[in-house]
Amino acid sequence: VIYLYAVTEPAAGVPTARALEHRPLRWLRTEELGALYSQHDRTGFDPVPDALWRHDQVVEAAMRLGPVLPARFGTTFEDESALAARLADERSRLRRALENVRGCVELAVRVSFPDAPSPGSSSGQAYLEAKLARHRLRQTVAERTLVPLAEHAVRAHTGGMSSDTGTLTASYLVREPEVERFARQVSELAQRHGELSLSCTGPWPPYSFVEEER
Amino acid sequence: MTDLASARQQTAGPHSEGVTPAQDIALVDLLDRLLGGGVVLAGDITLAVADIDLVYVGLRALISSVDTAERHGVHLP
Repeated sequence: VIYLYAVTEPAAGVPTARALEHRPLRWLRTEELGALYSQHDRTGFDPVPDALWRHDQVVEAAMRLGPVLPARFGTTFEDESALAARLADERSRLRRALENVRGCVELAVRVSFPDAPSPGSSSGQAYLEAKLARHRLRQTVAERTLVPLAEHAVRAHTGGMSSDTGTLTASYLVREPEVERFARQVSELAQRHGELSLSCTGPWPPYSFVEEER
Repeated sequence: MTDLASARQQTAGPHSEGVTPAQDIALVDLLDRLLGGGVVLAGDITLAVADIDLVYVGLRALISSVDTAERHGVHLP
C-alpha cells in the first residue's frame, strides 16, 4: 500500500525527511495538488510514538515549503492511481482547506487543576453531585481563563473537559508571526492563574484545522 | 525534533524550569491530533484496534503520571 502523510500545493516539491520504515519519501503531483507518501508492504500501521513522530516530521518538513494538510495517521491507498483519483474527487475541498491554513501553525493548550482533593461526602448521591458540580465549575474556569488567547488566533477549538483527567484541551490556529505573542500570553495567564496548570506545545502542523465543520 | 519544532516546549508555568515530562505532554498532544485530527481522505485508516486501545491505555497512564507530578509540586510547562 502507499501511506499518505500530507496534501500540499503542486509547487511545493519534496522536502528532505525520513519516511516510515526508512522508506523513501515520494511525491505525487496533480494539476492542483501535491501529495507526500511512501510505499510499504504492510497494511496496518501501529500508532507507536516512533511512528507518530516520524509522520509528524514529514509533515513539518513539508510545512516549510508551503501550506500543508496533514493526513490522519494510518491513511493508506492501494496505489498511486487510487490516491490520484481521490485527490481529483476532493480537489475543491482540499484547495479551500489549504487556503484556510496558509501561513498558520497550530498551538495546543491544556489547562488542569493541580490540587485536586476529592469532594468530601456523606452519601453516594451527594458525592456524585459534588463531583459533577466541581467538574462544571472547573470547565467554566478553564474556558474563561483561555479567552484572551483567542485574540491571537485565526481560529480556535476548545475540546470538552476530560472527566478522567480534569484537563481542558484547546487548539489554536495562529499566524506564524503571532506565535511568540501567543506564547507570551500563555506565560502571562500562567502567572496570573497560579492555581491552574497551563501547558502549551507547538508549533504543530494544523492537524485540528483541516476538516470543515469540526 | 526539527527547527520549526524548536519552540515545541514554549510552555509556561511559574516553575517551568523544574523537572518536567514536557516530551510526554508533547506526545499526548501529537497523539490527540494524529488520531483525531488530520484530513480524512479515504475510508482506509489502517490501524489495528487492539493497538489503538493500548495506545490510549498508555496515554491515560501518561496523563495520570503528569497529574501525579503536579501533585508533588512539579509544575508542568
